[in-house]
Amino acid sequence: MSNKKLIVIFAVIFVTFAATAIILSGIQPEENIAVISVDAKQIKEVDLSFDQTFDINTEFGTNTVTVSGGEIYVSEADCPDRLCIRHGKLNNKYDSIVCLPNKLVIEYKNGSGVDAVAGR
Amino acid sequence: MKTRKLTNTAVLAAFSLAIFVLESHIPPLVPLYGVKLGLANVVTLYAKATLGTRCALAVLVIKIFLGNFFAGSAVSLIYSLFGGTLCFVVEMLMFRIVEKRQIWAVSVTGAIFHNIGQIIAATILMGTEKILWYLTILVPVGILTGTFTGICAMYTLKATEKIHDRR
Repeated sequence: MSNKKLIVIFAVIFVTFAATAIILSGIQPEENIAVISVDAKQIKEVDLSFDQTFDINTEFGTNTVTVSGGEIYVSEADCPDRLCIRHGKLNNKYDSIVCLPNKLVIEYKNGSGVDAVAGR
Repeated sequence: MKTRKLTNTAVLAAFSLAIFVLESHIPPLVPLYGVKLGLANVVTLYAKATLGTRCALAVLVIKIFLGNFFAGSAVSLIYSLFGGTLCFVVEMLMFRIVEKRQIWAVSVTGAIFHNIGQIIAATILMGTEKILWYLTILVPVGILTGTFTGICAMYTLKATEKIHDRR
């Protein structure tokens, strides 16, 4: 295989995935409700119309979640990498705030169509 | 000859481990999981090109287990194992497809599949298939970082060509 061919193949893959990422990031959720799960189990549903701050305390660690102006984000966490805080607000239907060390996932309700059909 | 191979493998494993541990101490540049250069893969590729598949596998396994022992956790070990295994299998296949000079392409494919492997691990560990959307970001990122480490591996091989010729 020539270098040229390989570069074209990788460029096509790159553009396809990057374009998909950009398109997905523009899709907003139908309901303004977030779901918080820890260790793959849903533990809380949060209505984003009310401003609030609360702690998610589990055996894996503690994350402080803040809801403000219809948006949700992790404001404080005891995990070592603090990527959940740096992620910032949940900003589209397919977005999820993930804290790997604390096994925490925050996402919009019905974030993926598959789950809505399968039910919970 | 055998002793030489063993020594070389050991030295490369130490290199790989040192790079892995060093890299884990660099704070992430972007707030995304799994986004890092993966410089240790340069050593794995180098090992495969100069010593063969079995030695490369040894380097990789030592790096994954000791690396996560020194600078990781039980959870990060699982991610490394998924990513590393898939990456290695695909890279060995790619080595057969492309020419020796095109090692950069091996690295790019490896990086993509490393990220796919980690997403599979995340899907299993987190119990949600929604993380699959994350691939749309991680695949392009893998192509970029894979190109970089691939070029590193290419030039390392070029620079050390004479050493191997002498043997």
